[in-house]
Parts: sequence; C-alpha cells; structure tokens
Amino acid sequence: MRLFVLLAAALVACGDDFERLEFSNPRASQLGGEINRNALTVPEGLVVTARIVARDDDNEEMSLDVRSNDPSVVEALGVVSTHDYAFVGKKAGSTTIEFRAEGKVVLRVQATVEPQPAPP
Amino acid sequence: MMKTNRVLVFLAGVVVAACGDPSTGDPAYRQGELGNGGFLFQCDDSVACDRWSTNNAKDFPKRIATGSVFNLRFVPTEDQGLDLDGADTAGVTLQAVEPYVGRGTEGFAALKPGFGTVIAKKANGAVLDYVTLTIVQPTALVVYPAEYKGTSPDRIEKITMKANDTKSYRVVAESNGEAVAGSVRMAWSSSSSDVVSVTYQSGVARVSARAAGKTTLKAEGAALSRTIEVEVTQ
Repeated sequence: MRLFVLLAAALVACGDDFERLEFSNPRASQLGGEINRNALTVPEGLVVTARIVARDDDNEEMSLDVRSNDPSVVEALGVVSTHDYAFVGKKAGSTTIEFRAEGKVVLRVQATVEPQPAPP
Repeated sequence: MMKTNRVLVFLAGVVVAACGDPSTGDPAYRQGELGNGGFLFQCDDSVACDRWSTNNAKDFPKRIATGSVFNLRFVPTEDQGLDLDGADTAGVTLQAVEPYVGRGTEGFAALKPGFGTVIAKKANGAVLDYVTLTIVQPTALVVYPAEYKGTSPDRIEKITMKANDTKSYRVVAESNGEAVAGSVRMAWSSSSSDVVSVTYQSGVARVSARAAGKTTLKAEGAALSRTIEVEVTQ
C-alpha cells in the first residue's frame, strides 16, 4: 500500500508543469501601449494585441485563459488567430490581468488604461 | 449575334460592378489592424463622403466629425485561412469602444475628439479585426444645395427665392477648411415662418417660400450653428 502511494505521488510529480509564458508580436495602438510579462498599458478607447503562449517543462503548448479582473477598465479578448489576444482600453484606470495555464494562475500583470491626450 | 452577346455580357459586368462591394484593395476599404479583412464606411452625404451606389463611401474617410452618425461594415479577407464562410460571417458583430465611439439606433456615433476603435467579432466573441478612426471637432458648418455631387460645393451664404418656391439643402461639417465625414444631425429653424418654413428629414432641409419678405434660417448641430439670410420675392 505504501509503495502504491509513493508510486502515485511520483507519477503526479512527473506530470507536465507550467514553465513560462512567451509574449511576442506586440502591436501598439496609434498612441502607443504595450503588453509584456511585467505590465500592460493601453490608451483609453484603443487596443493593443500580442501573441501569448504558455509552455510546459517539455516545451509543449498549454491551454491559456486570459482574464481581466475589471472588464470595465480593460477587456481581454481572444483573437481568431491562435494564441493572439487583444486588450481593449475601456476607461482610464487600473486593474489586473490574470493568465491561467491549464486552469492555474501563472501570472498576474498590472494593467493601466491611460487617458488620450487632448487633441491639438 | 456573337457581338450582341459580348455587349450584353459587358453591360452585365458593369451593372454588377456598380451594385456590389468595391473590389479588394479599393480605397473604400480601410484595412483592419490585424489584416483579417477591411472596413467599409457608409454615409449619406456626397461632399466628405462620396458614395458608391451601395452607400459605401468611395474613400474611407480620414476624419469623422464629433456629433455625427455613420455606419461601418466588415468584409473579411478570404485568403487569410480563417473559417469565415456561411454562418460565421453572418454572426459577425461590430462593437464600438467608448468613450470615443458609441452605438445607437442610427448606427455608430462619433462622441469625442481623439482616436476611436470599432471591433469586428465572431459570434463566439473572438476578435476578427478592428479599425481605428480619427474623430475631430468640426470648426464650421457648410450649407450646400442638396442635389450637389462632388467635393467642393458652393457655400450658401444667402438664399433668394420666389414665393411658393421650394429648395433643398444639406450640411457638411468641416474642420480647418476641410470637409469631415459623418452625418451631422441638424436642427433647422426659420426666424419668420410667414416668409419661409423649413422641414428636415434624412439629412435634407426643405425650405418653402411662403410670402415676400426677408428673414433668416438657422442650422444647428455638432455644437455649431450657421445662419443664412433669406429673401423671398413675388
């Protein structure tokens, strides 16, 4: 019985674990903005996009869910092309974007929506 | 007989081209930021927004007036390898990103000067593409004859009419001397309805001369106003 438990624990330990998030192909808005593993900034009323891939310790892709804690400030949307995400600046303010790989939170990023400068 | 058939085929082609969407790559399309399709601008004036027969603007406008309404349509690019046929394209919706662009009963509304975004989404909520619009505050209103087609209309400063005549006018907003797109909704009024009366529908003001005299007409919209002298003779 003890052997069985140890074997089961070893199997669980050998499962594929999250290793990293890859951010690439960033697309800023007319007024800038960016998303990386440290922060998201997006001007109010505009959109920034990026390709974001979660990988496990075997370098395999993992399912990724991207959520905004306050969609009235930033809306996080999936794009039709695989792994691409769009972040919409809905109103000036701050919130957090949560990245979940296989259902587990693997990264939280501070998100800031900046007001647009007054037109000339 | 062969020659007649060729003429008919040619004419049919012309008719199809005139009634359908502009061809891909036409300046009527503003390419989406993600490259998955193009956006067509639909309008109802003919100065800032000259039209195809389908109401699509011949050139996607560079600037749109605050206080105006307009419509957009998304046309997916077929060679992007996206599954956009049939039911998928039927379910495409357009979302305005406030506070610069809104959506109401008449279509989209330009709410605030700056850059606004409209997003095309599939029925499942995934983003197909988006377009960024430049919205400017108009600095003047130009009143012009409703029947005018072109880019440089006569600016109506004074109207002279005979009693019982009727004339029609439209208004285009301009910013720093250049016409800007979007249908600005106007409120027209006559200082003396005994001399002229005015009605307004679908962007056209219809002015009817009632009796000899002098008065003024006022057009108000987009936080601006324009006053025009009117003289009615017998």
